[in-house]
Amino acid sequence: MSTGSESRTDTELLREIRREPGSPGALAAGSELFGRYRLKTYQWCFRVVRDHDTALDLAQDALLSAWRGLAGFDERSQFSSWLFAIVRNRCLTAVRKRVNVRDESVDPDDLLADGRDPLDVLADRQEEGAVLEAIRDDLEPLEQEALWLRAVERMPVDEITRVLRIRSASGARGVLQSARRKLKARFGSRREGM
Amino acid sequence: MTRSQGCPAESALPARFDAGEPEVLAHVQGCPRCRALIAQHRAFLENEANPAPTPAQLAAADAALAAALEREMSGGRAPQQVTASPRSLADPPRASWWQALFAPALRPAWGFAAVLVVAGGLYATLRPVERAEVRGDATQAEVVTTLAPVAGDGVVTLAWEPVAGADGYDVVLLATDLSELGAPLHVREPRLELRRDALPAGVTSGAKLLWQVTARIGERELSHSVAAECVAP
Repeated sequence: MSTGSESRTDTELLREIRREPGSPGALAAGSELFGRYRLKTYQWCFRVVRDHDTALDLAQDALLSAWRGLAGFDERSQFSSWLFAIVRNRCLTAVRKRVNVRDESVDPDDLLADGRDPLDVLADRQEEGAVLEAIRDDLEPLEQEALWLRAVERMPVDEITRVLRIRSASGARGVLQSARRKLKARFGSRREGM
Repeated sequence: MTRSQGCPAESALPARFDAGEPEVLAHVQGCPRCRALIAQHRAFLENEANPAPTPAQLAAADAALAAALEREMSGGRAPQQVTASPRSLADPPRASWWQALFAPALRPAWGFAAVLVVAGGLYATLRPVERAEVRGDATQAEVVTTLAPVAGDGVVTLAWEPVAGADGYDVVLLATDLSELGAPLHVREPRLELRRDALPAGVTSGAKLLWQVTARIGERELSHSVAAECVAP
């Protein structure tokens, strides 16, 4: 990736960093490369945690870890996707520590017999494979993606609307409502008095 | 939550998808996790957030992150620079500079100095840790220098140069995407044996790993190493 026709690509900058580690050229290349992504990193963290200080801490942690861990970067990948994987994992770790707050827009009729949100039931499953199996069979592709982002990655609902580019007026909220109803049918019905 | 089988490596997925690799395209079509990841990567590059941080927050973040990266890049070691010490674990230990200083004639003076140092150290450690230290505003101690791992029969020994003042070390094993493989392992001495029968979940013998050391004194972090490579025994 390059930010301009005359600037070096990410790959070229990485090679400069690795050619002579610690040299002025390598440090300049490192500054340029990480400079391209530091605001993107912060903004991604902000959109997940919605707090400036927390986002800043997460972004700093991710960027410094990436610099220290450049040995782990395989040049067959894109630097942006490698960095994004680090950033995303830091954010996921942070949000999973939070107490899961009930989504206030959930229709009580969409909850299970025991009052639980089907999305929480899904999120509690320890194997990603089990989660994928549960959602693949019964849900539309967009519902699957929205549900994955909400239940597993705890992304805010309006952020899911933006990430998935959902154009309908109800956005991700409507998609998730549809997904909940289908999951409820799979996990059990409230009216059946389980 | 453990990862499912069959999904391409997260860090490689967007590039392989954009390249149109047939098997990746086919997989993504049936995998909501990977489709969601690709959508997120695109959103990450598009740099849009809502509610967006304010211009003041953006400017503050940009400045803080630039400063933190500058400190890390210029104050510590360069990445990938596993210090190529010719030493191995089999070599006899070098005479340390502090051993030479503690000659008998100098010991009374050092005793008095030690009292002053301990008093100062107690004051320093009892001060509340400022949030700014988390942001890296504090002066960095010496970087932890890792040594080349030594492979044995079913075991790999990780070692590093001892850090002055440290009373213990945390060693964290990382996957190549820098995700942590299990909890940090705490040791008092600057070495750790990685045994084949005690590898973290999901790690197989022969897999490429990264490892990173944090030197500590009590609960306080002194310094870090850069991530170095090793191969799982």
